[in-house]
Amino acid sequence: MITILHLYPRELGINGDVGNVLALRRRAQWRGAEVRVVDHEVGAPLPEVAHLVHIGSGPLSAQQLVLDDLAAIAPTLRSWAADGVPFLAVAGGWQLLGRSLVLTDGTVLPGAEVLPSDATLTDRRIVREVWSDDVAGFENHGARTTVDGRPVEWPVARFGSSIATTLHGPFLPMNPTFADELLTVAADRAGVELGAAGESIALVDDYAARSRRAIKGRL
Amino acid sequence: MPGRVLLALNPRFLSRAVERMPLGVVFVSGSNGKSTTTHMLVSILRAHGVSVFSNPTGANLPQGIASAMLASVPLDGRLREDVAVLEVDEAFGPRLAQQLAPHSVLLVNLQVDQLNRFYEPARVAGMLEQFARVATRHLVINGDDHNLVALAERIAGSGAERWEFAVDPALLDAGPAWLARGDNPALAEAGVRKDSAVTVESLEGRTAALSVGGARFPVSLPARGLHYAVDAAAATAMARALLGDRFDSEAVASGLAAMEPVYGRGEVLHVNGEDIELLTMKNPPSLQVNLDYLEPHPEQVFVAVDEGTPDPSWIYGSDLSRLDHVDVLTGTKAWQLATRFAYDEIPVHRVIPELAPALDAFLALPKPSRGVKTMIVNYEQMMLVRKQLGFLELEGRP
Repeated sequence: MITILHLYPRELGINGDVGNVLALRRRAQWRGAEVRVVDHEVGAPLPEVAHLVHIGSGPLSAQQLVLDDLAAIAPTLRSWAADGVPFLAVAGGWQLLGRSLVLTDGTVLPGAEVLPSDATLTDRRIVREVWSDDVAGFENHGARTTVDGRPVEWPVARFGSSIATTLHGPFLPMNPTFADELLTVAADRAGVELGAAGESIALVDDYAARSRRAIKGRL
Repeated sequence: MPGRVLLALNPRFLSRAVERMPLGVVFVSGSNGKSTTTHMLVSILRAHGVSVFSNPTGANLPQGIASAMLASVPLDGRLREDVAVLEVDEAFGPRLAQQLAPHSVLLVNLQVDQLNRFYEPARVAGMLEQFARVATRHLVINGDDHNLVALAERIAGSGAERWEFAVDPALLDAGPAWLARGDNPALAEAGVRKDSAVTVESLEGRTAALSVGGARFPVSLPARGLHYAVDAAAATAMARALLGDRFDSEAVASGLAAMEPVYGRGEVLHVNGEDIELLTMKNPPSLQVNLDYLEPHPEQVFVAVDEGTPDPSWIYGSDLSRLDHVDVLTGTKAWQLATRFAYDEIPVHRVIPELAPALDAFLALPKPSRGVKTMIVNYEQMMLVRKQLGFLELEGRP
């Protein structure tokens, strides 16, 4: 059984980020693996184990709602990350899992320090479709992210087995290779065998490829 | 548009028109349900014998309101009705408030509406706050909506008397609470029984029980759904605030009963001797309301989404269980939607990115054995579909 932990789905789910969890769950099930998704709400205890952790995006007002709880669970999250548990962190969720988030008025919010990045909110918002050979999607955010002071330019960053992105919503449905990469690590940690990809996966991956091509065509 | 010209020629037109109305000007605003709530309030006030000026559905921008008033004012330019009940767009509210100075404001909810238009709930709250501040008589808010409660706290010194409507916590827990509370759902307070002016106590099909000052009475709603009950509570709360001792729960019930039942959420087009229902997907709450309204598994389904919805990501958060297949999928976002449907194992029979052939393919399907052909489209595709089918004027919107 693979356990996927979904952090704050109510607060950080404004952009359909639950689509990432859906993609992970379905793809594992289609490959014959049993999956359990645990939603972590503010104030609730964490499960004993998690093989993969997802945190979605949300506006500042929603981020502020989860800050206290995040501080409480941060030590556990850090120990999981140090142990190799893969995280997928999206936009506002990435900012929260980083080291710090600087607001436009200069206020510094502490991050969970799961990922070694720092974010600074800016007045300029980036709202656009994105395409490259590796990845496609939509970003809508207003932050500058750095790792050790160096700017992160591309919408997807890797930290060990973890992935962080500014592409919100259906990042994994649209870019299934990232989903499979995360799932492979999670299944391995759970001691679960993933079967071969069948027709269902071929179909969604064909749709996803056509979605990416449509975006490419528009840019 | 005559309203635009009129406002340019005579910027004082609006304020003069409403100056002497005894019950003043009421703004009804919020993210979802403002049209229905406005209709309900008008109907309830009329059932009390109050004469009401109101703007037609959807005409909630300054020029639309000016056009509607122009058609109603006598030569002296002053409306004769007792009260003006106006549905007001969130973004235009602040500007309208400068000209119309609402005495009373009713805020139904603050949902994550048109995300790419507003970005942040806090920004929409700021817009609402600007005109809510102007009210000197009554501020009526959704007591289950954390954002609106906070807004009311911020402007507590504005002089308006504050009234709340709410849903009984037990009922909220049982239903799709986010529809009643307003999205972001997480921003809502957990179920605590509040001391509100009007409370939705129960809901059974199209009948809801409202309680006002401890007295409980049944009302019939224009359609099923908790959001209609919430709209009815909102309208009842404002009626109670405006009418004081004249408020009569029987008139509330008869006013609501006099409303036309809503059988479909969307517009029905008659094409080739067949009815086609057109449902729009504006934002997550409105799509969910439209989907939940459908009978399970409509026999023939057409879906069209284009760049008018720059980022359809949020549809991953929607419950699509009413659909068991899609016959024809079109629009520039068709493949993204196909991916979404596939992850819920909802088969898509044909993806035809171009609208004209997609529409032809859908219309070529034989008349369904039950129900009507159902189209789920974004606003821009709705306009194009209407045009393709020869419906040029946008009128008779539900």
